[in-house]
Amino acid sequence: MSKALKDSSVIVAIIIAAALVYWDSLKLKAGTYDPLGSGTMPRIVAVAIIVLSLVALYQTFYGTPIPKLMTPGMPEEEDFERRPWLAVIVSAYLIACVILLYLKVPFGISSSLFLFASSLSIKRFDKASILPSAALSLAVGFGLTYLFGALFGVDLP
Amino acid sequence: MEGFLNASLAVMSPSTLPFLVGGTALGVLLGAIPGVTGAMGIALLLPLTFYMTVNNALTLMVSMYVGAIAGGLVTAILLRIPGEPSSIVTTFDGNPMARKGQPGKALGYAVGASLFGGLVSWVALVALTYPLSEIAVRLRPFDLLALVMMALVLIAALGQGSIIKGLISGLLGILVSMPGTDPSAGNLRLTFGIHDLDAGFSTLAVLIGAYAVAQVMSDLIEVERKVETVETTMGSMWITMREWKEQGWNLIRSSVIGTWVGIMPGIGATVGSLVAYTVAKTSSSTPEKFGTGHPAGIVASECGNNATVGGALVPLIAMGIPGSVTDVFLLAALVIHGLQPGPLLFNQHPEIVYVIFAACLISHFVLFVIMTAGIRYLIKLMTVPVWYLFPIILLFCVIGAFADNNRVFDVFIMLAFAVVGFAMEKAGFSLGAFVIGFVLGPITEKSLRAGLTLSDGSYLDILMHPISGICMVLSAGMFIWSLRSQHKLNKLAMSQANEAAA
Repeated sequence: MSKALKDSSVIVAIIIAAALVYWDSLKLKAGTYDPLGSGTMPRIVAVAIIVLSLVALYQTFYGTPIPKLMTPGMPEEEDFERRPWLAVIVSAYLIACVILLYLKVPFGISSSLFLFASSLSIKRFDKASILPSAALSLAVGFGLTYLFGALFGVDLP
Repeated sequence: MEGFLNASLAVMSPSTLPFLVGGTALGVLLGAIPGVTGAMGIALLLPLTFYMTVNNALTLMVSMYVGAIAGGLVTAILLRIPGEPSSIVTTFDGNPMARKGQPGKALGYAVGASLFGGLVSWVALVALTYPLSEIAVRLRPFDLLALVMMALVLIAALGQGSIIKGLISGLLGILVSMPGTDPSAGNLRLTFGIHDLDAGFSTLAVLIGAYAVAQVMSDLIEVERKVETVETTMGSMWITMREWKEQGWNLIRSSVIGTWVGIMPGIGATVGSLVAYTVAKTSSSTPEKFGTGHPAGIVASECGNNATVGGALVPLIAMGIPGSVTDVFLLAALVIHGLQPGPLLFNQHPEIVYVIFAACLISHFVLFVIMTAGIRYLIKLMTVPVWYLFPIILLFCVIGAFADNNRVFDVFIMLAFAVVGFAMEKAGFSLGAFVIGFVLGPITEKSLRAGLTLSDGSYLDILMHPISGICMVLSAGMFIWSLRSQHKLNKLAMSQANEAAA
């Protein structure tokens, strides 16, 4: 997917969200003592967002790309492997961890599982690092549970 | 004066001093680790402050703020990777000087300039906050609204990228602050039937999700970035008095610029260091030396970015308008402890303001000691294994979002805003403008409604009074100026591209 297409899909999503807010705020009626009502401000902001988003959408396809600030000595674009899927995988682990918390699985267990899976994925799977990762995950997971649960009084699942 | 001395003694008491030293050290540490910013660290620490006294919480956060801005200089000089976004300008001359075999000297200039810039801005903080809060207390609702609008236009205009996208980000932030119980009318709005949203989005869940989690996700993509260190020793950091004298005017000018940029609402340390560096370069008799390891470049950048700390606290304390993204989290900390930043803070809780002043001053000296004595250990930190660090940060985010109301729903909200923040950042929208818009949303609405009630529903009244009128004209001027300069930059880029193609 091209950069313009990616950017425009984000802008369209913003327009839809703003339109949804506008539509929902129409249900809010102004009171006798508050002629402006609860809905006016969301409507003003939503309309401003939609108008500006349309301008941004036009700029995405017909404007020139914004140049990067380049000054002598500034680091140039570095050559290294980018891993976009890593962000997706770790996000999936995080969502799984939160679902486990929602299902009342204790924080120590769900966080240790998240740490173990994430660290192995970030480091790239390697047999030698399984045991140290597991040990560290358990220590950090249950350590955090003790720190926040027992010392700071956070009512973790 | 007595209030400040009492606050200084309180900050240096055995029960608070560990928070000051620990906060500064933690700030330096987070600032020095590439990919972890001070703002992110402060966001993660917010839930911990629930269980602290207000003095300890504010001391911890202010000292962390001071430490984080300076911590970024280590990686900027030795790795050419700015630990903090505001340290990017320090890489221009700091890294070339380090590569010429003088890494210690580059660090020495940067650390000394950081202390000088921080102290100058502290003087401005103490001198300007009270008079400004006295003026702010007399502001009409429309004046406050116009000031908030100006802050949003400033962030959008001076941030990198499109001003249109910057404005959209700020407005989206305001929109996100609206669901829940309307504070004026008391009725529910924009909850779409979800009862967990009756009290609105949790501040921590939105801030941590959109700022910290989204940032970690972006950093994960670049986890393979190679790190190349330059060796240094503490002894080589010594700068002679003659060398400092040569930088005298540069130190003062850059500190004043940084402080002024900091005071302007919504603009952070990155712009401060960039403006100070540009002015130092254009007014130098040897501009060609900039970018090759020139001490003046390092001094200007570090003075400029550290001076924004004190400056940015001025609008936060005096008007309740955050001077930078990090100030957003300080504002959240104050609100969590039942305090409302703004003109009344000085009258109702002067002891809190004095604690902020004292923590800001003392942490600059603690910072200097940490940076000079601990540089060899800081360098080792740069090789910290990120493969374990990032998952731990994400767990802290989960705990932070959960701890606000002790419910998993807020963690789901955090995840949703992480996706929103990530997508927005990749599409060129400013997350700084978004979080600032989010915390300014309630003030914006309150000011608009109160202003319209006073003016019998006339929107034109905003232009009829001097302060609000001037702010609106300035906002419009900045918007047009920004569009014009963006157009010029685009044309320049096009001509460069055409030349390269030819």
